[in-house]
Amino acid sequence: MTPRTVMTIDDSAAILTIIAAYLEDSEFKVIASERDGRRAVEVFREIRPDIVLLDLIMPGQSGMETLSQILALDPDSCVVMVSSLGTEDAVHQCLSTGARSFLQKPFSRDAFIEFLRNLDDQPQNSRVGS
Amino acid sequence: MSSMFFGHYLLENGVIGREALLDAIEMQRRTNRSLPDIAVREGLLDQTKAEQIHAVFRVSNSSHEDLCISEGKLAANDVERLTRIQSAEWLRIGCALVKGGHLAETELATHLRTFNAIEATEQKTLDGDFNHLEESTIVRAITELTLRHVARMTGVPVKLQRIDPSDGALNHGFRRFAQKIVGDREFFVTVDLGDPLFSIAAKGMLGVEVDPAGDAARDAGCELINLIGGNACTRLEPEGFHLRPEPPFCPEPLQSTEPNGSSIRGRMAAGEDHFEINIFINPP
Repeated sequence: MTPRTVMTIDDSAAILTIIAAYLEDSEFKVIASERDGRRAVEVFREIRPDIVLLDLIMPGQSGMETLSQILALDPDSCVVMVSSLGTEDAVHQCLSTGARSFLQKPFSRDAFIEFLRNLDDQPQNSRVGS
Repeated sequence: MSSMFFGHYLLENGVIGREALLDAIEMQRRTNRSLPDIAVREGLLDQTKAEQIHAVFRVSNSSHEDLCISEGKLAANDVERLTRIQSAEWLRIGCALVKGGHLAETELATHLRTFNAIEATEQKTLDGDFNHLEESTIVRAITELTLRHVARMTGVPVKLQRIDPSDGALNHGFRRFAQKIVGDREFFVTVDLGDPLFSIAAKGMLGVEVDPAGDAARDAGCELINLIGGNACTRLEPEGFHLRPEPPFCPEPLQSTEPNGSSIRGRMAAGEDHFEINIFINPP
């Protein structure tokens, strides 16, 4: 089976490391990891991954701005917002802007992979809490 | 939530020395087993599955007991039996000190009685600290989350010693991680980790050894407070607070992050080391 490609965007190298470790030996393959929103949009333009995992709270260009720019490049892209903040306001703002889903940190490896597997089955704009 | 570990009490009162406490803690580390490890020994889990539960434990908010069940590794009645075994085998610090020849049994009984009495009194004081603070809901929520996340990442139990309104003066020898929380209140949450805990927390976050002076460890500390801040905002939403965290940062040592005045300092103990949480709240 061809692995589904994943791009991770988070200012925390720790989270990038953990996500890459979680997806090792799975049907998902991390093809790019970026710590800066602006740079991430440029990389997205080139590689067009199947799934984008995007941190909400980042210094510099925020997750929301990055989300809008990615959707402007490809309105059908599958962007999942990942954040420790899971308030209704935050979730609503992300989903109404066009994020496919919302995942609250922290999360376990098994729950994370199950979440990615179910992305296609989830209705557009859904929320998954920790 | 009690204020001090028994071992610290004995140390602070000159009953035992630091070496004796370290020896007893080491004996506990060698003797006491987590639930998944006991399950392996009892033939209910293989090592791989136990390691999977440990990995999930590091990043989730669930106990080992709950994870063994929710991850489908063990039945509830097995977990109950293993918990009883774990409890029966658990070597407490006082017994470890006696076993190591650092304390006589009669001394243990006497000091334990005194300690329990002090604990009961201090618990009331702690409850008072929370309840009399203007922002007690925020402080309590963030404190709970800090305790939970730091304990999980360091792998050692932590206890709150007390919460003091303070002038914002900071201790030396800590690595500070801070996050500004904004919304219908504005405040800073900072966590101050001593060097040993800083290293352990970084390892807990990343799962590998990291250079405590390097970016990876700094990054892990920032992510730690980000988890605390974000989850705190989420936790406080149903109580009517509309808050969001800004990106975490690592202030220079001893540089206060609060622009003016009010601050609440919690002192916590974690094993042999300790750390502090400072919640700076400006008047609304």
